[in-house]
Amino acid sequence: MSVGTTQRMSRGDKIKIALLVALVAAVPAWLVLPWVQRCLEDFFSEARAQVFGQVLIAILLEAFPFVLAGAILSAVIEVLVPAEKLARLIPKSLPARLAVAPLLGLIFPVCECGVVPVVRRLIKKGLPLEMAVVYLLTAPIVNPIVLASTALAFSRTRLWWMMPAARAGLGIVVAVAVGLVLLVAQRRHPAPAAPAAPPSPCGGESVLVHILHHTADDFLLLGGFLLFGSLIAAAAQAFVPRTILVSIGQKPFVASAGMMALAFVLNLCSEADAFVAASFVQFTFASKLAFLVLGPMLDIKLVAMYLGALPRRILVIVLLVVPPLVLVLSELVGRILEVAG
Amino acid sequence: MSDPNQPPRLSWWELWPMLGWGAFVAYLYAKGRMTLFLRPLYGHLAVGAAAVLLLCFVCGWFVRRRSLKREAEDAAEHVHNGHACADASNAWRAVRSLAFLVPIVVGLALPERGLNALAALQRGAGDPAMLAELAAQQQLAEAREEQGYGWTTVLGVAQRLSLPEPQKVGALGFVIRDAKMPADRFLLVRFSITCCAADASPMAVPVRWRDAATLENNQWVKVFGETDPEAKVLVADKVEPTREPANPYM
Repeated sequence: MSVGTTQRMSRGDKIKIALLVALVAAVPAWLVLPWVQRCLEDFFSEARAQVFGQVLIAILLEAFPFVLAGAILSAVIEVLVPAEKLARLIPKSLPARLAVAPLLGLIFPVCECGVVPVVRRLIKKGLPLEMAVVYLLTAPIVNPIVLASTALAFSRTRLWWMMPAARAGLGIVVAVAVGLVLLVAQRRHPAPAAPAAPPSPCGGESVLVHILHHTADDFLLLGGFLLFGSLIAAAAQAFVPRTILVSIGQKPFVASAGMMALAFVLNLCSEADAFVAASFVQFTFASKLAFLVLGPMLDIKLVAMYLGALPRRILVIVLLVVPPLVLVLSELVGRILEVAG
Repeated sequence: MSDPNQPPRLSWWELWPMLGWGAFVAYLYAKGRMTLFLRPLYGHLAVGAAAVLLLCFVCGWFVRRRSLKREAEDAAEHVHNGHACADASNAWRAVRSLAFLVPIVVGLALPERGLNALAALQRGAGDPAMLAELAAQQQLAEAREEQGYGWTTVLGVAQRLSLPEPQKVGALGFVIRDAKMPADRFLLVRFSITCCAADASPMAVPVRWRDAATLENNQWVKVFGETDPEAKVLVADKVEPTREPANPYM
């Protein structure tokens, strides 16, 4: 008998050991688990813990189908779209790139959770960062379903048609501005050249296996970040009353800043946020616009997911540029539309 | 070194979250608990995605078994067919994979009920301007005859409070009693959701009832009474305790 075979356990031995471990673990588990369950049930029957748990599960249940769909699409891109083909499709001139990126959101309408794995993969495949970030920020806003729900939510107000138009327009302007800032930043401090994207030809049955592998990997990675963000978001919803954020004030800029803070904390889906915004009747058009533009670009769970998708330097730029731009531009647009209306 | 032509092997850390999360969502759906978190449409979407996850798990399991037979040893990093498989250390994989246990444990420990009075108060229940806007956003809710009253929703009652003539109405909701309220007052509340409990907005109608002090927060009741257009309050004739509905949201 060789040394290798003596050292390696047989399948039968492994099963025997596993059964023994299971048997030894079963007795304490049988005694401890009901106690643990009772403790947890007592804990979550407390009002605030219940709100925390319910919001956590609600955000995850709502978001995970879109993250999974994004992960599958991302895996398909990885396996079936060669980098060189993608490179051929990217416009050469900068204005064309920045003009095309927001339109991708109309052609491939995805929500803010689904777009993250796709953008992560496209960046790995060589999509220029400024184009990827503009797509990432605009896709959940120019999505036709989102614009329709915005129009519906504001259908009883005098400015009902202006809100979806202003939301889409301002979303595109802010995203393109961020794209330009990224471009300037990259020219000043160029990032190290990315390794040449390898070809991705898989054939036969292994194509599906490769897609499965990448789907699992993306889902696990971004699902983890989604979970991290959802834990913080649920805690914020359970411990920070909405009424505090909306009572900050109704003066220009202060109201918008308060509504932006609310959008960041609430982590609403962009298809639903307009209904919540419309319910804040005491707030200005500008502050609701700021709420609706910032929410799909930045909230707690999205920042957590961006950690897994964007280079840190790019994420810092997005975090520094988006909020002040949204604040100033929404006030400007709000004033103009209120005067015109 | 693994054969570059072999398909990648899925690790157990990648497989179990698919099984765990897929089974958890299917369990919530089978027990009818999905409506405590999501609007029904999104519940169907979630269970569809859970089915895809479980399918991915089954496929991944077979791929793993086949790969184990082929491979003599696991390579921590490998390249196959020209493109790099995503790699993470086993420790990191284990941590992020085990993190998926957290929501499963929380979800199983939660009581079987919808959002509570605390959430309603934190989200502005009782604010008349908010109620008026929510009521105005939708068409007048229908009412059907029940015990001589027009049985409708809390939203329907809120809409009828703004009508000039008193209306005999009834609705189902849960109770909020605040220490600051007069002894004969309570709020009848029902959440309205667009997608999930995170966006739920409370509809709250003020109710005047002489025995309001006997009611407890979060208690579900059927209220029958007449609207008082001047005081903007529903004056209750009778309040019947009842069970929380399967779908606690509107």
